[in-house]
Amino acid sequence: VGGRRILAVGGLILLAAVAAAGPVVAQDGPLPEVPPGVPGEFDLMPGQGLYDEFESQLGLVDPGDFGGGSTLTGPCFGMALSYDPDGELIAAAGDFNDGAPPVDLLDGGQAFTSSNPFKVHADGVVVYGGRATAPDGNGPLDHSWYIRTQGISLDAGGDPNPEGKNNNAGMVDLRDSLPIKFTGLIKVDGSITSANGLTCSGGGFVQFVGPFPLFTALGGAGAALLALGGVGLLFNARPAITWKG
Amino acid sequence: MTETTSPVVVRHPVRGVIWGLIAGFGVAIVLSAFSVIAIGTLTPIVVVVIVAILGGAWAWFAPPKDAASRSTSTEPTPVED
Repeated sequence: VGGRRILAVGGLILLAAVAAAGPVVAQDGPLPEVPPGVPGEFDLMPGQGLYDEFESQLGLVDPGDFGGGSTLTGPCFGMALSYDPDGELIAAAGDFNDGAPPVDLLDGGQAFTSSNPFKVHADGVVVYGGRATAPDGNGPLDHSWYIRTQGISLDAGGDPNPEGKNNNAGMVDLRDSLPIKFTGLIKVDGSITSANGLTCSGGGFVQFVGPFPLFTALGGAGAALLALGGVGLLFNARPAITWKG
Repeated sequence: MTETTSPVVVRHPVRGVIWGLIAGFGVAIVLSAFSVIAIGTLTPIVVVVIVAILGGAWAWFAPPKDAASRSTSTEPTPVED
């Protein structure tokens, strides 16, 4: 798990979520070995219930495409929640409507756009869940997927998924996964296809937030290059008078 | 016998473009880090190209550095490196 994985999660987290096989297990109560407790203020309801609630309320929502660059087409649905290191929810997006762009679950607008990117914190976590059902009713059998930016592959994978599972959920801890901390806005796109006819594709903008940009490796490198280029322009490229005689 | 010299302006457009490319990459990365422009779009490439062109223009049109004074008042002759 590295930076490419994080970009994958950030860019097409919904596609990645449904790509891997692994069922969401609904919990009606605490596990037998875990003593019952009182839910805290920040506890989430069981994942399946939360997903179903969003799907029932937002399944028909089409925020309209405002040309911001986010799309998700095909029978792939899911949602992603992003938290900062303090546990504050900083972004939530979902797509429960075939053909419509993803929805910002916090304000109801279009998500993953250039003006409303999906924010992830360099030290935060992203929780995701999703479903994908092929035309034959099964999950994506023998599927493969990729995520890229400007034609350059960021991550790719696949799974035979012989059991035909059609849903998955998980969490990515960016603090442990990012090889270097950085901030910035990235446009990604991706696709998933399966042997039994499932095809989903999409793209959008993800914004990495966190430390002051110039204090990150990427920002520092950019500032160093800018300074180097500036010095070169001032002292090595400026016209000079010489003497010929 | 008196030595005669004439001033010549040497310009470095290629150096200007190269240093401009380096500075342009820096500008693009910094702007990307501040989320002003998005990686994965054409914008960073456009920024790099614009700064490289500006670097070349600087190397051509900037006022020449002063050289050590010589005993002549002849106007400098432009020369490209």
